[in-house]
Amino acid sequence: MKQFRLLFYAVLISSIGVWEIFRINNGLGEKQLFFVILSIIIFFLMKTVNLKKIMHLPYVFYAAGIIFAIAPLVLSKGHIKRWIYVSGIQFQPSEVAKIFYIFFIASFYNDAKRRSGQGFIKALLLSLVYFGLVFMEPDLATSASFLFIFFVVSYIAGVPMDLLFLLAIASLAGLTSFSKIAFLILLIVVTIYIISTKHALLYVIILYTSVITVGLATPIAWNRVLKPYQRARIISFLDIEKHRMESGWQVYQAEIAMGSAGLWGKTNRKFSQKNLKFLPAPHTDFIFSSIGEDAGFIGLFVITLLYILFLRELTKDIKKVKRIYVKLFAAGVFSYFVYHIIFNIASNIGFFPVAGIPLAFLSYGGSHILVEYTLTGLTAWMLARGQ
Amino acid sequence: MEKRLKITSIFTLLILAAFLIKLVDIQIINNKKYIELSKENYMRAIKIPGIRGNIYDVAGRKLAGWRPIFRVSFLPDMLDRKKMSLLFRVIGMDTSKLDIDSLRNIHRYISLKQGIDFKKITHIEENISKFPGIMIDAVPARSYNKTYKVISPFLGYVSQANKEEIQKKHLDMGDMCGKSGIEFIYDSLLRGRNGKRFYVVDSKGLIRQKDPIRPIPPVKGKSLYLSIDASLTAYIDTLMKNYKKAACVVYNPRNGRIISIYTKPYFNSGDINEKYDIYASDSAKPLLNRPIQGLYPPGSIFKLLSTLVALSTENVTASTRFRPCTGTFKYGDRTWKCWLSSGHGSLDLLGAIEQSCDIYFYQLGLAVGLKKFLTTLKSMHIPVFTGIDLPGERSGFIPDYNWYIKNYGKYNVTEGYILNLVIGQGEVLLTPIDIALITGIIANKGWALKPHIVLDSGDKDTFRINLPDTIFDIVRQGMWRVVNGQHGTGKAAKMDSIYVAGKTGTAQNPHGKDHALFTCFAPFEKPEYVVTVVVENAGHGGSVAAPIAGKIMKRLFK
Repeated sequence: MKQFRLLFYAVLISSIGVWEIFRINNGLGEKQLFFVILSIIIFFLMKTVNLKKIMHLPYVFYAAGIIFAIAPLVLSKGHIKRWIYVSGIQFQPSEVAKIFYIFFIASFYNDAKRRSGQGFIKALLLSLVYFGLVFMEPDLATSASFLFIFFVVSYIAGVPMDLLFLLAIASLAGLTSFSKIAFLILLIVVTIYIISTKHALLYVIILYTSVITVGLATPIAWNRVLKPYQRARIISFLDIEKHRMESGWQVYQAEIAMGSAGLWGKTNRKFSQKNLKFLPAPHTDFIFSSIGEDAGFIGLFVITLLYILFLRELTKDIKKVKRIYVKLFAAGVFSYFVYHIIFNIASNIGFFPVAGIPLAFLSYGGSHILVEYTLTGLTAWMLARGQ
Repeated sequence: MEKRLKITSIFTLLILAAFLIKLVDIQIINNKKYIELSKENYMRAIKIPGIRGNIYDVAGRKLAGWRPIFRVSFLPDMLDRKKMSLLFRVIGMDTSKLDIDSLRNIHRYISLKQGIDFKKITHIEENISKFPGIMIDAVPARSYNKTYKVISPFLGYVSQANKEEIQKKHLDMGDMCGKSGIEFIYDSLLRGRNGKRFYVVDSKGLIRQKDPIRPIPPVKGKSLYLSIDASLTAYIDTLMKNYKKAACVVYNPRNGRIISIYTKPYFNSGDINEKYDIYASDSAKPLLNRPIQGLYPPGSIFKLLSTLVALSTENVTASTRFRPCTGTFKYGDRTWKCWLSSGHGSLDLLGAIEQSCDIYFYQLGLAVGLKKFLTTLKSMHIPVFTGIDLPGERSGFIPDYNWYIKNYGKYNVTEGYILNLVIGQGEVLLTPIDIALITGIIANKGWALKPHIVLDSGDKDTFRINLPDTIFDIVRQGMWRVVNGQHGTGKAAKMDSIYVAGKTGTAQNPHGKDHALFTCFAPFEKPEYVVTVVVENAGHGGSVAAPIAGKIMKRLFK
């Protein structure tokens, strides 16, 4: 019955989303409702998918995913190449690429030999191809999701901690290099890790060198690689009040929308921040704030609780499962959802830049809803079969 | 594998818990703050200016009222720099005038410009979609009675408050305030109180709902009644039509009311905001308020004060005769002239006043002596600043002995200085209002009420010169003879039915023709009116100023 419990949580969350989107715009609400119904059908269709026989062939999945990652770059004619149109329907192939990527990474680590430092480096290089292709669209949020899934799955798969720590910390060094205090905290964390565990001198040297190199190099890369709007979004995140008239204005308005709603939400819809268009993108990036305005803290608490229950349901029976690739697939799906829940909510409440990450099951949009139900379905039926 | 999954799950749970804590902070703990911030977002107030009080003359003629004009206001946080400069161009404003960044945190409508013509308003309304956050409405604005432009320098005018005024008077940007005259002095009384109206706007600045909460109605300012008779002032203007620069004060010393006050040339309150630079650069100085700001040597009018001094020091009596006037007078190595070169012959004090004989007064001055003259004059406290309820009054000047020492050196102050001083050609400078007040004090035998222009100013301050009535009687007698005597210099001011008493003055002017002065009061027995006339570069007081004063008196007693 596990598969139905997963579906139950997913549908419950989606229903809140559909309800909210209907309140914003009837036309969009109808479309979203259609996507959700279609997604539920797909969830059941996933019962028929059984990839047991090719689970030892990770490169099949890898190649399939790459095709989807390349497709928009080749087929899309616009300046921003994120979507392609199939008989008039807009569709985001990089979302589908995520499904294949999760299959790939799960079957890759299925082989115990690959759960080593060497395998990890190999997987990292392969994953960077996905990252690079999607980054070129450009879509920073989606491209980063491949790396997030990669690191989480690698960690759960049991890749040596030292190597993982080195690479994770090096990436964090890039992120924190813009704030002296954050970078200092990072160095302290590194030092605590070094002192508390035993390491070869070479490792210590490599760790510090890479942290400092990345920390110094990132600000330079920042100015040459990122698009101005991407820079603007990150800058605005760093100082909300100061940039409230620009990008930070969005986050500021999101806080006002939620904050002014109180415990139970607003009864007077007429003067809501959403209705007066102060809250930007209330049906996509800021649907969390939008629900927060209508349903208050209670509404957001319920949503958070549903997400926790859903994530728990995804992972709690993993130990009963014998097949490694099923465990890893579930871990991959888990990390997918963690990424799409945590980073979206974080950007709504000002903990993270607005990166355009859709909120799982809630944000308006067909592609990510379909992918989410597909992933949920695949996991649910795999776990149910106990493979 | 399960252990690491568990760690990841716990980590995720902790992050979500942190999010919930943040939500508790903004949605529950700081709920009120965010409610205020959301109101700041959508609830936008616009100021409804209070209607300025009317100003009436003594006969109830409306001199200043109001009319509706168009106003353009905007929400500064809704317009970016580009749109703002476009808007400025449309309404014809200089972008550099507004500090846009300092307005960013203002969440209400700011008045951009008032009094925009209909054509521009239509243009803006046609393009309103380009300018979200713009509001066009009609507001009351000052309007002045065109028939009585002649009152303008005393009414003053209003225009937008500048930074200092905003701070000092607690005004808002775009508020109007009085800049000169009555409008300035009684600004707080006239101004009234601003009201407020509210609008719900969306993030683009488009209005979604009017009056979501009850508007705060504006309060109309108090109306003022002036003691001025506007039609008399207009009449005085016609009397001055042959002269370029003149001043006149008509004043009741018994109650302090200014019945008429006049300056020429004068500006127009109705157009000064547009033409200020033209007025300011005019060499005839229309912005100079001559009756209270024009400093003139009083000429022979000063002889009235000289007489007061000599009588109080008892150096002369009414019947004192000095050496007869032959037209010239030798003192030291210089010859001093009387204005009448043929000479006046032998005169007593009253005759000397009547004919304004310089040579008599030279001898009167010498009889008193410079130091005694000046110390006595000082002890009389002749008022040289009236404190009238008009802005910018300048103080007249009567020197004292110390002033002479300071300016000429202790050993250079000779008796010779008395000769110029005693006939009013020395260092003495008085404004027409000073002369009117001094005339009033003499007319009333020692007292006069402080002049005021607003009817119920409540000001009952009294100026006094403490001398015995007998002294004032002699001076008044002399003034009576100036107008009514056979040889009086001010005969042109004579009336049939009522006795007028006065004194002529002719002030030498190094830059051109003499200034003609005349001051008088009537009726002689119980004075009700003082009329003081100054006509610049016009000639003799008796021939130019006295007839004008006479005509004003005639009209007053008609």
